[in-house]
Amino acid sequence: MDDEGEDVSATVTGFGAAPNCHFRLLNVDEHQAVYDGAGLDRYTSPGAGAFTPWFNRSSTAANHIAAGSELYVDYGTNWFISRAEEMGLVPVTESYEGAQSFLKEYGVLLVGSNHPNDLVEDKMALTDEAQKDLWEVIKTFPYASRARQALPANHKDAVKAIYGDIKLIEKENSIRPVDYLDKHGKCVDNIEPGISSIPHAGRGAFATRPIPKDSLVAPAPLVHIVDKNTAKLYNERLSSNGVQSKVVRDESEIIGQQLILNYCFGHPNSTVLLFPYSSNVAYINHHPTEFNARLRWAKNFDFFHNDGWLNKSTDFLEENWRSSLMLEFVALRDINPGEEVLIDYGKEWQVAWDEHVKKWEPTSPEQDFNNLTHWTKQMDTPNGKDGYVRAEVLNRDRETPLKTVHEQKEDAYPHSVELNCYVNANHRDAYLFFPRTIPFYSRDWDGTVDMTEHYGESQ
Amino acid sequence: MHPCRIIERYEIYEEYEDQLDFEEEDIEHGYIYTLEFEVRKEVDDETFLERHEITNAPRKSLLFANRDYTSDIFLKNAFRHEMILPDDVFPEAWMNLN
Repeated sequence: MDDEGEDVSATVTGFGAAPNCHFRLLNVDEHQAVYDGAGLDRYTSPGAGAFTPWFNRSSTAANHIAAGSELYVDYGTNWFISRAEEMGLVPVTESYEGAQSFLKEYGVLLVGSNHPNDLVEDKMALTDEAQKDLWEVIKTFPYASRARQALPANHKDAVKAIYGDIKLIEKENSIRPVDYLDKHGKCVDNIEPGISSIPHAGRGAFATRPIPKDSLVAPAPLVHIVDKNTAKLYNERLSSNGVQSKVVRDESEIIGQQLILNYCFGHPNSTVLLFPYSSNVAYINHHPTEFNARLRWAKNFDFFHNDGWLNKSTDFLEENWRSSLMLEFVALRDINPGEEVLIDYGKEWQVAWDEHVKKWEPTSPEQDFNNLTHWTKQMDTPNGKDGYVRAEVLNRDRETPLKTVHEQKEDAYPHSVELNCYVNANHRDAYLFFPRTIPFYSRDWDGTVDMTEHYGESQ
Repeated sequence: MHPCRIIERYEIYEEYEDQLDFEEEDIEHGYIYTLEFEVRKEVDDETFLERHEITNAPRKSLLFANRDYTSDIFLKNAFRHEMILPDDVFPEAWMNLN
């Protein structure tokens, strides 16, 4: 996905967003998505480019996961460190090492010994009540650290963890009885993706089991975006400030909207957008008349969904940025397994789509060199062969000899790809040729220095 | 990864195979390449170019990448519109536009 643009940030729903991260309890591995445009072709379909082609980012169990366990994915340490201001000090992997050694010290404080056999009630220097108070002081002491945040929340767990393992205790605490989940949970796997029955829609959501009338199709926890202008894309211009000019956005020229807009709910009389981030709900398509599901605000889910927010102002929503709202898709009639789930996207959406289809004109590969997208400049001649071809297609062929620049003058590669090499451009074991106007290095390719992922990138 | 140009392509002769520290698939491909690329370096606010030539590069060192902003989602004529919640679902308190 990195080659979509210069600096790529992408939103991933489902397993990309729903599970929390707990560094000591990570139990889910996430894998790369693949590019798959669901068979839509930019030269023939007005639906091309209207949905994400990144698909099938699978998740697998990293270890045995007991039924009822909370699922945790790795957000990466930097995710928390860069959000310290908003999130407080969330423990990262190293924090637990610090917490565990603090607990050992705490054990010595309690019984005056660092032998596990001495950690019994008779030898405790403090009464049970005093120990609880002390633990409360430790946990709420005003100078926060990530290591302290990693300590168990209650005193009983802290004593258990002195010669045990914080991780095991946290693991026990992260499991909910299956009966409880059956009663209070919301099922997220009633739908799965497949190729939609709606023309130009790409993928759709299909029932995995019978969904009776009025019952839940899927929950839709939401990220609320208070100002839909944030989805706009602007042209760029050179700033005239100072001696050095730099590229900045030109707010006077809106050139498009971010793709996330197509996955958000809104209302013509509001600037608020709601982005559902649960598994597979983004695949639910529209039908103006034959829809079989509808949306309502979540019921019986108070621990997450704040019904009171529905009466608050948009200023309140702006200040309270944490995800705390949830819609749910509900069946309007019995839905059979394998049937596509469809809702009504509203008449404004229908009008906009009808206009888009009416205005949309098929183009041809011969016209498709860089000027087809906003971000690539109009060129007089194509910088490659006509037509859009994905790099993945060319990379599958490991046999055909690659063409030299000289050969490419006669028979170019498609304009949409470029040739890259794995190389460590900072590697200095190369001969420097003099005299040259610019330094010139030449050396043999070497897998041990060029193929590793961790070498310093070029400046 | 660096964008690069293939300057030359050489066939791998059987008698030289043993001298190349390559994996089976690179030998099977039958060719090695001479590559060239430029790198912009920055030292004390001054930027300058370096030219690099890499010789004896195997097939596995080369990969096609998609050029930025060429995929379908960047098409000028791609459809964009939010889905609309019905009036009875969308909260009145959030209706801040006429």
